[in-house]
Amino acid sequence: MPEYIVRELDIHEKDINNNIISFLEEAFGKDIDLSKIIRNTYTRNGKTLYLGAFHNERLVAFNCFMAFEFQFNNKTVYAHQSCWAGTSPQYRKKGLFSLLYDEAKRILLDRGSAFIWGAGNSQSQPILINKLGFRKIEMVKVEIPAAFGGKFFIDHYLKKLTQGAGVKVKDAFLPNEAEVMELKLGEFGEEVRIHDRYNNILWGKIKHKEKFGLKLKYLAVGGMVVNKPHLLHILFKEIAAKEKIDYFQIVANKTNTYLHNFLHVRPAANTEALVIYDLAMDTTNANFNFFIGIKDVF
Amino acid sequence: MKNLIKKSIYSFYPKDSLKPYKLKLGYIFHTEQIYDDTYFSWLLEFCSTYYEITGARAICAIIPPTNYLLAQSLKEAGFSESNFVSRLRDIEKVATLGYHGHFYNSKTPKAEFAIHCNSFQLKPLIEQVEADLNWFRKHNIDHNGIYSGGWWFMNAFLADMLITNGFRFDYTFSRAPYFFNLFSDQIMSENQVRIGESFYLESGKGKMLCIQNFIGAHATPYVEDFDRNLKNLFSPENENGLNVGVINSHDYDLDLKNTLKCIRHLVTDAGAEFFSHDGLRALSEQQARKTALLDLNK
Ligand SMILES: [Zn+2]
Repeated sequence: MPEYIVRELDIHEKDINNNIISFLEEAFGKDIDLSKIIRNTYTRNGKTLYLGAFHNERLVAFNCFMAFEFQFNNKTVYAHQSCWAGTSPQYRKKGLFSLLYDEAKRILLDRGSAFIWGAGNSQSQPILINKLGFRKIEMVKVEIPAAFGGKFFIDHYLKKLTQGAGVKVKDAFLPNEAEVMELKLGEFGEEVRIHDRYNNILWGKIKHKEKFGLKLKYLAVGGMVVNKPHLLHILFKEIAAKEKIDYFQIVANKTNTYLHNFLHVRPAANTEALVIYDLAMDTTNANFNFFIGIKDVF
Repeated sequence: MKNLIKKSIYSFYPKDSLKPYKLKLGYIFHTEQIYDDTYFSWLLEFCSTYYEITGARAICAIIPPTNYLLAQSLKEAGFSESNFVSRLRDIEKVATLGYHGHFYNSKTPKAEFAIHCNSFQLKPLIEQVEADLNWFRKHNIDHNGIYSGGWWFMNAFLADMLITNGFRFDYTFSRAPYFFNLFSDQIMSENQVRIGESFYLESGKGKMLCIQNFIGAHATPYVEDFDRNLKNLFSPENENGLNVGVINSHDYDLDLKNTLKCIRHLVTDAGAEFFSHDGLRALSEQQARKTALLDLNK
Protein backbone atom coordinates (compact mmCIF):
# COMPACT_ATOMS: atom_id res chain seq x y z
CA MET A 1 0.00 0.00 0.00
CA PRO A 2 2.57 2.58 -0.93
CA GLU A 3 -0.01 5.24 -1.64
CA TYR A 4 -0.92 5.61 2.08
CA ILE A 5 1.17 7.60 4.50
CA VAL A 6 0.73 7.02 8.25
CA ARG A 7 1.83 9.78 10.55
CA GLU A 8 1.32 11.10 14.02
CA LEU A 9 -1.15 13.95 14.37
CA ASP A 10 -0.53 16.81 16.68
CA ILE A 11 -4.15 17.13 17.64
CA HIS A 12 -3.62 20.55 19.22
CA GLU A 13 -2.07 21.93 16.07
CA LYS A 14 -4.41 24.37 14.40
CA ASP A 15 -3.48 23.97 10.76
CA ILE A 16 -4.57 20.37 10.51
CA ASN A 17 -7.89 20.91 12.22
CA ASN A 18 -10.09 21.43 9.18
CA ASN A 19 -8.74 18.33 7.59
CA ILE A 20 -9.37 16.33 10.75
CA ILE A 21 -12.76 17.85 11.44
CA SER A 22 -14.25 16.97 8.10
CA PHE A 23 -12.87 13.46 8.45
CA LEU A 24 -14.22 13.07 11.99
CA GLU A 25 -17.67 14.20 10.95
CA GLU A 26 -17.60 11.67 8.17
CA ALA A 27 -16.26 8.84 10.33
CA PHE A 28 -17.94 9.44 13.70
CA GLY A 29 -20.93 11.68 12.99
CA LYS A 30 -21.80 15.37 12.95
CA ASP A 31 -21.92 15.82 16.74
CA ILE A 32 -18.30 14.80 17.25
CA ASP A 33 -15.80 17.58 17.23
CA LEU A 34 -12.13 17.71 17.98
CA SER A 35 -12.53 19.21 21.44
CA LYS A 36 -14.75 16.28 22.43
CA ILE A 37 -12.07 13.82 21.35
CA ILE A 38 -9.37 15.75 23.19
CA ARG A 39 -11.40 15.90 26.40
CA ASN A 40 -12.06 12.19 26.07
CA THR A 41 -8.54 11.01 25.28
CA TYR A 42 -5.87 13.52 26.21
CA THR A 43 -4.64 12.34 29.61
CA ARG A 44 -2.50 14.70 31.65
CA ASN A 45 0.72 12.74 31.08
CA GLY A 46 0.69 14.10 27.51
CA LYS A 47 1.75 10.79 25.94
CA THR A 48 -1.47 10.02 24.08
CA LEU A 49 -0.79 9.12 20.46
CA TYR A 50 -3.06 10.16 17.57
CA LEU A 51 -2.33 8.43 14.28
CA GLY A 52 -3.71 9.20 10.86
CA ALA A 53 -3.47 7.46 7.51
CA PHE A 54 -3.38 9.90 4.60
CA HIS A 55 -4.16 9.40 0.96
CA ASN A 56 -3.06 12.22 -1.30
CA GLU A 57 -2.68 14.48 1.76
CA ARG A 58 -6.22 13.67 2.82
CA LEU A 59 -6.90 12.02 6.20
CA VAL A 60 -8.71 8.76 5.50
CA ALA A 61 -8.23 6.68 8.66
CA PHE A 62 -7.64 7.54 12.29
CA ASN A 63 -6.86 5.80 15.57
CA CYS A 64 -6.13 7.12 19.01
CA PHE A 65 -3.94 5.43 21.61
CA MET A 66 -4.66 6.95 25.00
CA ALA A 67 -1.71 7.00 27.38
CA PHE A 68 -2.29 5.99 30.98
CA GLU A 69 0.07 5.92 33.89
CA PHE A 70 0.27 2.75 35.96
CA GLN A 71 1.89 1.52 39.13
CA PHE A 72 3.47 -1.89 38.56
CA ASN A 73 5.38 -3.33 41.52
CA ASN A 74 5.86 0.26 42.70
CA LYS A 75 7.36 1.41 39.40
CA THR A 76 5.66 3.87 37.09
CA VAL A 77 4.92 2.54 33.61
CA TYR A 78 2.84 3.80 30.71
CA ALA A 79 0.55 1.81 28.47
CA HIS A 80 -1.86 2.79 25.72
CA GLN A 81 -5.54 2.17 25.16
CA SER A 82 -6.65 1.95 21.56
CA CYS A 83 -9.83 3.85 20.78
CA TRP A 84 -11.57 6.13 18.31
CA ALA A 85 -10.82 3.95 15.29
CA GLY A 86 -12.39 5.32 12.13
CA THR A 87 -12.00 4.99 8.38
CA SER A 88 -13.64 7.01 5.63
CA PRO A 89 -16.36 4.86 4.09
CA GLN A 90 -14.73 4.57 0.66
CA TYR A 91 -11.43 3.47 2.22
CA ARG A 92 -12.77 0.61 4.30
CA LYS A 93 -11.57 -2.98 3.82
CA LYS A 94 -8.23 -1.76 2.49
CA GLY A 95 -6.21 -2.81 5.53
CA LEU A 96 -5.87 0.71 6.93
CA PHE A 97 -6.90 -0.41 10.43
CA SER A 98 -3.98 -2.87 10.50
CA LEU A 99 -1.66 -0.34 8.93
CA LEU A 100 -2.35 2.12 11.75
CA TYR A 101 -1.83 -0.57 14.39
CA ASP A 102 1.48 -1.67 12.89
CA GLU A 103 2.74 1.89 13.03
CA ALA A 104 1.38 2.39 16.57
CA LYS A 105 3.18 -0.73 17.77
CA ARG A 106 6.44 0.55 16.31
CA ILE A 107 6.13 4.09 17.69
CA LEU A 108 4.88 3.09 21.14
CA LEU A 109 7.49 0.37 21.62
CA ASP A 110 10.09 2.95 20.70
CA ARG A 111 8.66 5.24 23.39
CA GLY A 112 8.73 2.54 26.03
CA SER A 113 5.01 1.83 26.32
CA ALA A 114 4.38 -1.42 28.22
CA PHE A 115 1.45 -2.66 26.14
CA ILE A 116 -1.52 -1.67 24.03
CA TRP A 117 -4.95 -2.66 25.19
CA GLY A 118 -8.46 -2.19 24.03
CA ALA A 119 -11.89 -3.66 24.10
CA GLY A 120 -12.84 -3.58 20.47
CA ASN A 121 -16.27 -4.49 19.25
CA SER A 122 -17.69 -7.48 17.41
CA GLN A 123 -16.04 -6.25 14.20
CA SER A 124 -12.62 -5.28 15.46
CA GLN A 125 -11.99 -7.98 18.08
CA PRO A 126 -11.53 -10.83 15.57
CA ILE A 127 -9.03 -8.70 13.64
CA LEU A 128 -7.16 -7.70 16.82
CA ILE A 129 -6.91 -11.28 18.00
CA ASN A 130 -6.50 -13.23 14.76
CA LYS A 131 -4.54 -10.77 12.67
CA LEU A 132 -2.81 -8.34 15.02
CA GLY A 133 -1.61 -10.67 17.75
CA PHE A 134 -3.71 -9.45 20.69
CA ARG A 135 -4.74 -11.86 23.42
CA LYS A 136 -8.03 -11.87 25.21
CA ILE A 137 -8.99 -11.63 28.91
CA GLU A 138 -12.62 -12.25 29.79
CA MET A 139 -14.68 -9.78 31.78
CA VAL A 140 -16.58 -10.49 34.98
CA LYS A 141 -19.05 -8.54 37.07
CA VAL A 142 -20.63 -8.29 40.47
CA GLU A 143 -23.82 -6.42 41.23
CA ILE A 144 -24.25 -5.50 44.87
CA PRO A 145 -27.74 -4.62 46.10
CA ALA A 146 -27.62 -1.28 47.87
CA ALA A 147 -31.21 -0.39 48.74
CA PHE A 148 -31.86 0.76 52.35
CA GLY A 149 -28.36 2.19 52.54
CA GLY A 150 -26.90 -1.21 51.75
CA LYS A 151 -27.67 -2.38 55.27
CA PHE A 152 -28.74 -5.89 54.34
CA PHE A 153 -26.62 -6.95 51.41
CA ILE A 154 -23.25 -5.29 51.34
CA ASP A 155 -21.85 -7.54 54.03
CA HIS A 156 -22.88 -10.56 51.96
CA TYR A 157 -21.00 -9.36 48.90
CA LEU A 158 -17.83 -8.11 50.53
CA LYS A 159 -15.62 -10.81 51.96
CA LYS A 160 -14.70 -10.68 55.60
CA LEU A 161 -10.99 -10.30 55.14
CA THR A 162 -8.17 -10.04 57.57
CA GLN A 163 -6.40 -6.70 57.45
CA GLY A 164 -3.69 -7.55 54.91
CA ALA A 165 -5.77 -9.60 52.46
CA GLY A 166 -7.57 -8.13 49.46
CA VAL A 167 -4.93 -5.56 48.62
CA LYS A 168 -2.28 -7.82 47.18
CA VAL A 169 -1.16 -6.14 44.02
CA LYS A 170 2.04 -7.96 43.16
CA ASP A 171 2.52 -8.04 39.38
CA ALA A 172 -0.65 -6.02 38.91
CA PHE A 173 -0.99 -2.96 36.73
CA LEU A 174 -2.74 -0.39 38.91
CA PRO A 175 -4.05 2.57 36.93
CA ASN A 176 -3.20 5.94 38.42
CA GLU A 177 -6.86 6.50 39.32
CA ALA A 178 -6.17 10.18 39.99
CA GLU A 179 -5.28 10.55 36.32
CA VAL A 180 -8.34 8.62 35.17
CA MET A 181 -10.67 10.55 37.51
CA GLU A 182 -9.25 13.90 36.41
CA LEU A 183 -9.78 12.98 32.77
CA LYS A 184 -13.39 11.98 33.43
CA LEU A 185 -14.05 15.02 35.62
CA GLY A 186 -12.81 17.18 32.76
CA GLU A 187 -15.19 15.53 30.36
CA PHE A 188 -18.28 14.97 32.49
CA GLY A 189 -17.94 17.20 35.56
CA GLU A 190 -20.27 16.36 38.41
CA GLU A 191 -21.69 13.38 36.61
CA VAL A 192 -18.59 11.64 37.91
CA ARG A 193 -19.14 10.61 41.52
CA ILE A 194 -16.08 10.19 43.72
CA HIS A 195 -16.16 8.82 47.25
CA ASP A 196 -13.44 7.94 49.69
CA ARG A 197 -13.19 6.70 53.24
CA TYR A 198 -10.16 5.40 55.11
CA ASN A 199 -7.97 5.53 52.00
CA ASN A 200 -10.33 3.38 50.01
CA ILE A 201 -11.56 5.21 46.93
CA LEU A 202 -14.43 4.40 44.64
CA TRP A 203 -15.68 6.43 41.71
CA GLY A 204 -18.24 5.99 38.98
CA LYS A 205 -21.36 7.34 37.35
CA ILE A 206 -24.99 7.15 38.34
CA LYS A 207 -27.01 5.29 35.74
CA HIS A 208 -30.56 4.00 35.39
CA LYS A 209 -31.88 0.70 34.13
CA GLU A 210 -35.25 -0.99 33.74
CA LYS A 211 -35.21 -4.34 35.47
CA PHE A 212 -38.20 -6.56 36.30
CA GLY A 213 -40.43 -3.65 35.28
CA LEU A 214 -38.79 -1.37 37.84
CA LYS A 215 -36.74 1.71 37.19
CA LEU A 216 -33.51 1.15 39.09
CA LYS A 217 -30.76 3.58 39.90
CA TYR A 218 -27.23 2.24 40.16
CA LEU A 219 -23.64 3.30 40.45
CA ALA A 220 -21.59 2.04 37.53
CA VAL A 221 -18.23 1.71 39.24
CA GLY A 222 -15.54 3.34 37.13
CA GLY A 223 -12.60 2.43 39.30
CA MET A 224 -11.39 1.91 42.81
CA VAL A 225 -8.32 1.96 44.97
CA VAL A 226 -8.27 -0.38 47.94
CA ASN A 227 -5.82 0.39 50.72
CA LYS A 228 -7.73 -0.83 53.77
CA PRO A 229 -9.82 -3.81 52.56
CA HIS A 230 -11.24 -4.61 56.00
CA LEU A 231 -12.85 -1.14 56.00
CA LEU A 232 -14.15 -1.26 52.42
CA HIS A 233 -17.66 -2.16 53.58
CA ILE A 234 -17.90 1.21 55.33
CA LEU A 235 -17.28 3.06 52.06
CA PHE A 236 -19.87 0.98 50.21
CA LYS A 237 -22.48 1.64 52.89
CA GLU A 238 -21.77 5.36 52.91
CA ILE A 239 -22.12 5.54 49.14
CA ALA A 240 -25.34 3.51 49.20
CA ALA A 241 -26.82 5.92 51.74
CA LYS A 242 -25.59 9.12 50.07
CA GLU A 243 -26.35 8.26 46.46
CA LYS A 244 -29.62 6.43 47.26
CA ILE A 245 -28.86 3.79 44.66
CA ASP A 246 -30.45 0.39 44.23
CA TYR A 247 -27.21 -1.36 43.42
CA PHE A 248 -23.54 -1.09 42.56
CA GLN A 249 -22.39 -2.52 39.27
CA ILE A 250 -18.75 -3.52 39.17
CA VAL A 251 -17.37 -4.72 35.85
CA ALA A 252 -13.73 -5.69 35.48
CA ASN A 253 -11.48 -8.13 33.72
CA LYS A 254 -11.03 -11.37 35.62
CA THR A 255 -7.36 -10.79 36.53
CA ASN A 256 -8.18 -7.68 38.61
CA THR A 257 -6.84 -8.56 42.07
CA TYR A 258 -9.26 -6.21 43.83
CA LEU A 259 -11.98 -8.71 42.90
CA HIS A 260 -10.69 -10.84 45.80
CA ASN A 261 -12.65 -8.47 48.02
CA PHE A 262 -15.98 -9.55 46.55
CA LEU A 263 -18.27 -12.56 46.55
CA HIS A 264 -20.71 -13.58 43.79
CA VAL A 265 -18.46 -12.48 40.93
CA ARG A 266 -19.75 -13.93 37.66
CA PRO A 267 -18.96 -13.76 33.95
CA ALA A 268 -20.00 -10.57 32.16
CA ALA A 269 -20.95 -12.22 28.91
CA ASN A 270 -22.26 -9.05 27.26
CA THR A 271 -19.15 -6.98 27.87
CA GLU A 272 -16.39 -7.08 25.28
CA ALA A 273 -13.29 -8.83 26.52
CA LEU A 274 -10.12 -6.93 27.28
CA VAL A 275 -7.50 -7.45 24.57
CA ILE A 276 -3.80 -6.94 25.18
CA TYR A 277 -0.73 -6.68 22.97
CA ASP A 278 2.65 -6.64 24.71
CA LEU A 279 5.20 -4.01 23.80
CA ALA A 280 8.04 -3.24 26.21
CA MET A 281 6.85 -5.69 28.89
CA ASP A 282 5.92 -9.34 28.95
CA THR A 283 2.53 -9.18 30.64
CA THR A 284 1.58 -12.84 30.16
CA ASN A 285 1.36 -13.50 33.89
CA ALA A 286 0.46 -9.98 35.00
CA ASN A 287 -2.79 -8.84 36.55
CA PHE A 288 -4.68 -5.85 35.24
CA ASN A 289 -6.54 -3.95 37.95
CA PHE A 290 -8.75 -2.18 35.43
CA PHE A 291 -12.38 -1.43 35.94
CA ILE A 292 -14.73 -0.34 33.22
CA GLY A 293 -14.19 3.37 33.89
CA ILE A 294 -10.81 3.43 32.23
CA LYS A 295 -12.48 2.85 28.87
CA ASP A 296 -12.84 5.84 26.57
CA VAL A 297 -16.57 5.13 26.22
CA PHE A 298 -17.30 5.18 29.97
CA MET B 1 -29.93 6.38 75.87
CA LYS B 2 -26.77 4.79 74.49
CA ASN B 3 -24.75 6.77 77.03
CA LEU B 4 -26.94 5.62 79.90
CA ILE B 5 -26.43 2.01 78.89
CA LYS B 6 -22.69 2.58 78.59
CA LYS B 7 -22.59 4.23 81.96
CA SER B 8 -24.27 1.32 83.65
CA ILE B 9 -22.24 -1.34 81.83
CA TYR B 10 -19.00 0.40 82.61
CA SER B 11 -19.86 0.65 86.29
CA PHE B 12 -18.95 -3.07 86.34
CA TYR B 13 -15.85 -2.69 84.18
CA PRO B 14 -12.60 -2.65 86.17
CA LYS B 15 -10.77 0.68 86.05
CA ASP B 16 -7.38 -1.01 86.06
CA SER B 17 -7.82 -3.44 83.16
CA LEU B 18 -4.72 -2.07 81.40
CA LYS B 19 -2.52 -2.38 84.46
CA PRO B 20 -0.85 -5.69 83.49
CA TYR B 21 0.55 -4.19 80.27
CA LYS B 22 3.22 -1.85 81.65
CA LEU B 23 2.30 0.94 79.24
CA LYS B 24 5.04 3.37 78.26
CA LEU B 25 3.23 6.04 76.32
CA GLY B 26 3.74 9.23 74.45
CA TYR B 27 1.36 11.62 72.75
CA ILE B 28 1.64 12.69 69.13
CA PHE B 29 -0.37 15.30 67.28
CA HIS B 30 -0.82 15.36 63.57
CA THR B 31 -0.78 19.12 63.61
CA GLU B 32 -2.67 20.36 60.56
CA GLN B 33 -4.76 23.46 61.27
CA ILE B 34 -2.80 25.73 63.57
CA TYR B 35 -3.88 28.73 61.51
CA ASP B 36 -7.21 28.34 63.30
CA ASP B 37 -7.14 30.37 66.54
CA THR B 38 -9.33 27.96 68.47
CA TYR B 39 -7.45 24.81 67.52
CA PHE B 40 -4.17 26.53 68.15
CA SER B 41 -5.19 27.59 71.65
CA TRP B 42 -6.48 24.07 72.42
CA LEU B 43 -3.19 22.64 71.26
CA LEU B 44 -1.13 24.88 73.50
CA GLU B 45 -3.41 24.32 76.46
CA PHE B 46 -3.33 20.57 75.96
CA CYS B 47 0.45 20.44 75.72
CA SER B 48 0.89 22.48 78.91
CA THR B 49 -1.66 20.51 80.93
CA TYR B 50 -0.35 17.22 79.56
CA TYR B 51 3.10 18.22 80.76
CA GLU B 52 1.73 19.11 84.21
CA ILE B 53 0.04 15.72 84.51
CA THR B 54 2.74 13.51 83.04
CA GLY B 55 6.00 15.45 83.07
CA ALA B 56 6.27 14.63 79.37
CA ARG B 57 6.22 16.79 76.26
CA ALA B 58 3.86 15.94 73.45
CA ILE B 59 5.16 15.55 69.91
CA CYS B 60 3.63 17.78 67.23
CA ALA B 61 4.27 16.41 63.75
CA ILE B 62 3.51 19.38 61.56
CA ILE B 63 2.59 19.81 57.91
CA PRO B 64 4.68 22.52 56.26
CA PRO B 65 2.87 25.11 54.11
CA THR B 66 4.39 23.62 50.94
CA ASN B 67 1.70 20.95 51.27
CA TYR B 68 -0.95 21.61 48.61
CA LEU B 69 -3.90 21.47 51.00
CA LEU B 70 -2.31 23.59 53.71
CA ALA B 71 -1.18 26.16 51.14
CA GLN B 72 -4.77 26.41 49.93
CA SER B 73 -6.15 26.66 53.47
CA LEU B 74 -3.64 29.34 54.50
CA LYS B 75 -4.54 31.34 51.44
CA GLU B 76 -8.26 31.05 52.14
CA ALA B 77 -7.74 32.01 55.78
CA GLY B 78 -5.45 34.91 54.80
CA PHE B 79 -2.85 33.50 57.18
CA SER B 80 0.72 34.47 56.38
CA GLU B 81 3.73 32.22 56.34
CA SER B 82 5.47 34.35 58.96
CA ASN B 83 2.49 33.94 61.29
CA PHE B 84 2.67 30.23 60.66
CA VAL B 85 6.35 30.14 61.58
CA SER B 86 5.71 32.19 64.68
CA ARG B 87 3.04 29.71 65.81
CA LEU B 88 5.52 26.88 65.33
CA ARG B 89 7.90 28.76 67.59
CA ASP B 90 5.16 28.90 70.24
CA ILE B 91 4.49 25.18 69.88
CA GLU B 92 8.20 24.46 70.21
CA LYS B 93 8.10 25.94 73.72
CA VAL B 94 5.69 23.26 74.94
CA ALA B 95 6.16 20.33 72.55
CA THR B 96 8.66 18.57 70.28
CA LEU B 97 8.24 19.19 66.56
CA GLY B 98 8.28 16.55 63.85
CA TYR B 99 7.25 16.25 60.20
CA HIS B 100 3.84 15.08 59.04
CA GLY B 101 3.54 14.42 55.30
CA HIS B 102 0.43 14.22 53.12
CA PHE B 103 1.17 13.57 49.46
CA TYR B 104 -1.02 13.79 46.38
CA ASN B 105 -1.12 12.42 42.86
CA SER B 106 -2.71 15.63 41.73
CA LYS B 107 -2.34 19.34 42.24
CA THR B 108 -5.90 19.20 43.58
CA PRO B 109 -5.38 18.28 47.22
CA LYS B 110 -8.29 15.98 47.84
CA ALA B 111 -8.21 12.70 49.74
CA GLU B 112 -9.29 10.82 46.61
CA PHE B 113 -6.02 11.84 44.98
CA ALA B 114 -3.87 10.70 47.90
CA ILE B 115 -0.62 8.91 47.32
CA HIS B 116 -0.97 5.65 49.18
CA CYS B 117 0.42 2.13 48.82
CA ASN B 118 -1.96 1.22 46.02
CA SER B 119 -2.05 4.66 44.44
CA PHE B 120 1.66 5.16 44.54
CA GLN B 121 3.69 7.25 42.11
CA LEU B 122 7.31 7.97 42.94
CA LYS B 123 7.84 11.22 41.05
CA PRO B 124 5.17 13.34 42.77
CA LEU B 125 6.22 11.85 46.11
CA ILE B 126 9.84 12.92 45.61
CA GLU B 127 8.77 16.40 44.51
CA GLN B 128 6.54 16.92 47.53
CA VAL B 129 8.92 15.50 50.13
CA GLU B 130 11.73 17.65 48.76
CA ALA B 131 9.60 20.78 48.80
CA ASP B 132 8.49 20.09 52.37
CA LEU B 133 12.01 19.45 53.63
CA ASN B 134 13.35 22.54 51.86
CA TRP B 135 10.74 24.53 53.71
CA PHE B 136 11.95 23.22 57.08
CA ARG B 137 15.51 24.17 56.12
CA LYS B 138 14.62 27.56 54.73
CA HIS B 139 12.78 28.60 57.89
CA ASN B 140 15.22 26.91 60.20
CA ILE B 141 12.53 24.77 61.79
CA ASP B 142 13.92 21.66 63.46
CA HIS B 143 11.85 18.52 62.80
CA ASN B 144 14.20 16.65 65.14
CA GLY B 145 14.46 13.78 62.66
CA ILE B 146 10.93 12.73 63.59
CA TYR B 147 8.35 11.64 61.03
CA SER B 148 4.73 10.54 61.27
CA GLY B 149 2.82 9.75 58.08
CA GLY B 150 -0.43 11.29 56.92
CA TRP B 151 -3.16 8.70 56.32
CA TRP B 152 -0.65 6.30 57.96
CA PHE B 153 1.01 6.01 54.58
CA MET B 154 4.46 4.49 54.49
CA ASN B 155 6.30 2.46 51.90
CA ALA B 156 9.87 1.51 51.08
CA PHE B 157 10.49 4.58 48.91
CA LEU B 158 9.23 7.06 51.47
CA ALA B 159 11.14 5.35 54.28
CA ASP B 160 14.29 5.34 52.15
CA MET B 161 13.88 9.03 51.35
CA LEU B 162 13.33 9.88 55.01
CA ILE B 163 16.41 7.95 56.11
CA THR B 164 18.48 9.56 53.37
CA ASN B 165 17.33 12.97 54.61
CA GLY B 166 18.38 12.28 58.17
CA PHE B 167 15.11 11.15 59.73
CA ARG B 168 15.88 8.71 62.51
CA PHE B 169 12.51 8.29 64.26
CA ASP B 170 9.21 7.25 62.82
CA TYR B 171 5.76 7.21 64.40
CA THR B 172 3.71 5.82 61.49
CA PHE B 173 3.53 2.08 62.09
CA SER B 174 0.48 0.70 63.81
CA ARG B 175 -1.54 -2.44 64.37
CA ALA B 176 -4.81 -0.55 64.85
CA PRO B 177 -7.40 -1.38 62.16
CA TYR B 178 -8.03 2.26 61.20
CA PHE B 179 -4.31 2.98 60.90
CA PHE B 180 -3.69 -0.01 58.68
CA ASN B 181 -1.09 0.35 55.95
CA LEU B 182 -0.15 -2.45 53.59
CA PHE B 183 3.59 -1.84 53.78
CA SER B 184 3.62 -1.42 57.57
CA ASP B 185 1.55 -4.57 57.95
CA GLN B 186 3.94 -6.58 55.78
CA ILE B 187 7.04 -5.27 57.52
CA MET B 188 5.67 -6.01 60.98
CA SER B 189 4.32 -9.42 60.00
CA GLU B 190 7.48 -10.55 58.19
CA ASN B 191 9.64 -9.47 61.13
CA GLN B 192 7.18 -10.71 63.75
CA VAL B 193 6.98 -7.32 65.39
CA ARG B 194 4.26 -7.32 68.01
CA ILE B 195 2.19 -4.33 69.04
CA GLY B 196 4.11 -2.10 71.41
CA GLU B 197 7.49 -3.35 70.20
CA SER B 198 9.77 -0.73 68.66
CA PHE B 199 12.04 -1.82 65.82
CA TYR B 200 14.47 -0.49 63.23
CA LEU B 201 13.95 0.08 59.54
CA GLU B 202 17.23 0.03 57.64
CA SER B 203 18.27 1.12 54.19
CA GLY B 204 21.77 1.33 52.76
CA LYS B 205 21.93 4.89 54.04
CA GLY B 206 21.15 4.39 57.69
CA LYS B 207 18.37 3.28 59.98
CA MET B 208 15.29 4.70 61.55
CA LEU B 209 13.79 3.71 64.89
CA CYS B 210 10.08 2.97 64.52
CA ILE B 211 7.85 3.61 67.52
CA GLN B 212 4.30 2.42 67.03
CA ASN B 213 0.98 4.17 67.34
CA PHE B 214 -1.39 2.30 69.61
CA ILE B 215 -4.78 3.85 68.95
CA GLY B 216 -6.38 7.26 68.62
CA ALA B 217 -6.65 9.43 71.68
CA HIS B 218 -9.79 9.37 73.60
CA ALA B 219 -12.79 11.54 72.80
CA THR B 220 -15.72 10.30 74.90
CA PRO B 221 -16.45 10.68 78.60
CA TYR B 222 -16.05 6.92 78.99
CA VAL B 223 -12.38 6.17 79.47
CA GLU B 224 -13.31 2.49 79.57
CA ASP B 225 -13.86 2.72 75.79
CA PHE B 226 -10.20 3.47 75.45
CA ASP B 227 -9.17 0.62 77.74
CA ARG B 228 -11.37 -1.82 75.87
CA ASN B 229 -10.16 -0.73 72.40
CA LEU B 230 -6.51 -0.93 73.36
CA LYS B 231 -6.92 -4.23 75.18
CA ASN B 232 -8.54 -5.70 72.08
CA LEU B 233 -5.31 -5.17 70.18
CA PHE B 234 -3.16 -6.84 72.80
CA SER B 235 -2.35 -10.52 73.00
CA PRO B 236 -1.14 -12.45 76.08
CA GLU B 237 2.41 -11.71 74.89
CA ASN B 238 1.87 -8.06 75.72
CA GLU B 239 1.72 -8.91 79.41
CA ASN B 240 5.45 -9.71 79.29
CA GLY B 241 7.83 -6.87 78.79
CA LEU B 242 7.31 -3.28 77.82
CA ASN B 243 4.62 -1.85 75.59
CA VAL B 244 6.03 1.29 74.06
CA GLY B 245 4.05 3.54 71.76
CA VAL B 246 2.08 6.69 71.27
CA ILE B 247 -1.54 7.65 71.20
CA ASN B 248 -2.55 10.37 68.81
CA SER B 249 -5.04 12.90 67.58
CA HIS B 250 -5.16 15.79 65.17
CA ASP B 251 -5.12 19.31 66.48
CA TYR B 252 -8.54 19.90 64.91
CA ASP B 253 -10.33 16.89 66.41
CA LEU B 254 -8.80 17.08 69.87
CA ASP B 255 -11.33 16.59 72.65
CA LEU B 256 -9.45 18.64 75.20
CA LYS B 257 -11.49 17.71 78.25
CA ASN B 258 -12.03 14.01 77.65
CA THR B 259 -8.55 13.31 76.36
CA LEU B 260 -6.98 14.87 79.43
CA LYS B 261 -9.44 12.91 81.56
CA CYS B 262 -8.27 9.72 79.89
CA ILE B 263 -4.62 10.59 80.40
CA ARG B 264 -5.23 11.16 84.11
CA HIS B 265 -7.05 7.85 84.22
CA LEU B 266 -4.17 6.03 82.50
CA VAL B 267 -1.68 7.45 84.97
CA THR B 268 -3.80 6.83 88.05
CA ASP B 269 -5.65 3.60 87.30
CA ALA B 270 -3.53 1.82 84.68
CA GLY B 271 -0.12 2.73 86.06
CA ALA B 272 0.87 4.02 82.63
CA GLU B 273 4.00 6.10 82.34
CA PHE B 274 4.21 8.94 79.84
CA PHE B 275 7.40 10.00 78.10
CA SER B 276 8.67 12.74 75.85
CA HIS B 277 10.24 11.78 72.54
CA ASP B 278 13.66 11.40 74.19
CA GLY B 279 12.26 9.02 76.78
CA LEU B 280 10.44 6.96 74.18
CA ARG B 281 13.61 6.86 72.16
CA ALA B 282 15.70 5.61 75.09
CA LEU B 283 13.17 2.91 75.97
CA SER B 284 12.84 1.87 72.34
CA GLU B 285 16.58 1.66 71.82
CA GLN B 286 16.72 -0.65 74.79
CA GLN B 287 13.80 -2.68 73.58
CA ALA B 288 14.36 -2.91 69.81
CA ARG B 289 15.78 -6.29 68.76
CA LYS B 290 14.53 -6.44 65.19
CA THR B 291 15.71 -4.66 62.08
CA ALA B 292 13.61 -4.70 58.94
CA LEU B 293 15.53 -4.19 55.71
CA LEU B 294 14.08 -1.95 53.05
CA ASP B 295 13.75 -3.49 49.61
CA LEU B 296 13.02 -0.98 46.88
CA ASN B 297 12.55 -3.74 44.33
CA LYS B 298 9.60 -5.38 45.98
ZN1 LIG C 1 -2.70 14.03 58.66
